[in-house]
Amino acid sequence: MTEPFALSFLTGLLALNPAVSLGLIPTAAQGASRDHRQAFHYGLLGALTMLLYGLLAWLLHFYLVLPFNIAAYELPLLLLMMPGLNWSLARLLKPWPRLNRNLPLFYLNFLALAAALVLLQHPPATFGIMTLTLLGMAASFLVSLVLISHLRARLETALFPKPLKGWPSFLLASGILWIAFQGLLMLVK
Amino acid sequence: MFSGLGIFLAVAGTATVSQAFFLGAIVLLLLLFNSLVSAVVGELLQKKVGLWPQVILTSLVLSALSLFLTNAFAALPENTVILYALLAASPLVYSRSQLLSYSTTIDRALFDAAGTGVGTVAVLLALALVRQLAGQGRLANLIVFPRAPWPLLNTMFGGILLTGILLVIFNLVKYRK
Repeated sequence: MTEPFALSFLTGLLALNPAVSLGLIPTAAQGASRDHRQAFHYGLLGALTMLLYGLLAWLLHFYLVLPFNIAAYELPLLLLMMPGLNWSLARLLKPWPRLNRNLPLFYLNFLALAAALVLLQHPPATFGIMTLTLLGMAASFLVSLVLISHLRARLETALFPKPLKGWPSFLLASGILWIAFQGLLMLVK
Repeated sequence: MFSGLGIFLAVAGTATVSQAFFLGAIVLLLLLFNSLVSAVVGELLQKKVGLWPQVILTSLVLSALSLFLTNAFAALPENTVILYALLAASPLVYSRSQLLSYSTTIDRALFDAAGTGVGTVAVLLALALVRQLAGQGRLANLIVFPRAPWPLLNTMFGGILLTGILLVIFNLVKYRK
């Protein structure tokens, strides 16, 4: 009975996080700080954005796009939701300045769109499974961002030849993180 | 590309030469379109087009284009559809129009966008060529190596690694200068 729910969470956690499945780890890391606490708040906000945006995208897909047969306009509709979500989040998170000061972040919007598109490619049929898949994706994004901030902190103080500094060493570290996620995915498979 | 804006395309959109060419051509088209809009509005109204209106406009263009590209998507790797849609929110296609195009003449804006776009296509094609040759041992339908010399390049890690190597080469040339 609980197996499909556990599987959908694990699929979100290990296979569908766009930072991993689409190779967006370096892009995700572009906005992440090397300060772990700040990176955690950034990641938390990203996870929240991903969760809410994915939820709205799923509702849009099943209650507007499919019934009215307007699949061609799904992308503009998805993007129209984004400024609204940013505005709502800014109001909602006013009591939490540590989260609120990270808004608006274009990279998080980019990743939220990626998460929604990955989700809608093979949309889960029930609301429960969709929510668990999204929760898995959001948790995975948070974990990957915190790991990236640790990698970034180490890489920036490590001794490298000059041409390897910056993006090249960072890409290598992102690749290792991608391999780690693939390894975990193999265990579940 | 080297400022990091196009890294996701270099990593995820270079599995095959045809995918790289397709995505690169769309980037070039969007760069030209956004720069044109930005330059025309800048010249006529002396105003800068905001980012969100430009994002929505770009998504409409991508949606309209996708109606004619169904066959192309079917022939390309599965993630191409997602990467194509993601371009609507990618800083890469707005970089020139938001930084320069609105404050210059239309022809200069178009030349600038064309230069950036062609550079992006060239980098994507170079990465895809190496990845497909070494990772799959073939080019289009032609088998170049009976056994792929470096199958690792066929994975996402290969894309990340090769982009890193290309950036090292870029840095070496830059520091030597």
